[in-house]
Amino acid sequence: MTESGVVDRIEPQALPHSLAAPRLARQYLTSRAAEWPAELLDLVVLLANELVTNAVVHGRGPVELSIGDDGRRIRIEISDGDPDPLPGDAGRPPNAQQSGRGLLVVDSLADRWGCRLHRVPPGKTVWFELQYEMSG
Amino acid sequence: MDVNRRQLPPVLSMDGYGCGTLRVAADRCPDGISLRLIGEMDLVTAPHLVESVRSLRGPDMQHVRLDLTQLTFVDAAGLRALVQARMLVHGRGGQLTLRGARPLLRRMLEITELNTAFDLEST
Repeated sequence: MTESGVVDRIEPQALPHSLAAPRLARQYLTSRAAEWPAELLDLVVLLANELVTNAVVHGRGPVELSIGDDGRRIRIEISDGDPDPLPGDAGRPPNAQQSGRGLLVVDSLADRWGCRLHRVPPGKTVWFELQYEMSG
Repeated sequence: MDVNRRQLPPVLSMDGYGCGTLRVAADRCPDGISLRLIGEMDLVTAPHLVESVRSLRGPDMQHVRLDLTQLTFVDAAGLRALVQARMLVHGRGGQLTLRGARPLLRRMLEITELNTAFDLEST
């Protein structure tokens, strides 16, 4: 058990800036998260896959994935080296194009998500959170 | 928008992650063909579905049934391939149906408003 409100962060995992990255991210999350409920794991894997795909297709290296889990919510962050904002910007994805569909899926299935830009080192971090189902 | 100046991905599946995770198995039916998708459909593997559908001959195109029962993962790039497959089949006057879509895929189809575009067979 971790202290409530404190997200227990796992060391960021570097991913190649190549088309292999989405599959590697899925394998990494599946191996790291065997204790998560199966339906939650499916969602985490899908949403992380979409953000890694965007980072590889539209962004720049280096690409990193980090996991936070405080027992109540899971937070996944995907960073890449492209400091430009997302097309359409967070929360209002277009749905006509393929990258738009990926963000639309994230927007619809995540409990929260967002994007922050950083100058040093240059890049952006796109993140999402999923709550554990509360029992009782 | 400056999308056009963004660089293309530098690696095009030359690193051993080619079509290895999606297999397309064809079974002839009296009225067309059933394509079983086995494995994972993402940005790298999705073109394999589109190529498989494109290579079908006329009579098989009458009714193409995509059996998704053994598809363990599909993402937005996979949805795009499903749309492309449907366009190819419709373009030749045929019909495409999806069989065995899992609940998460059904949700994705609803979110992207593609659910009305596809015939979803109940399983």
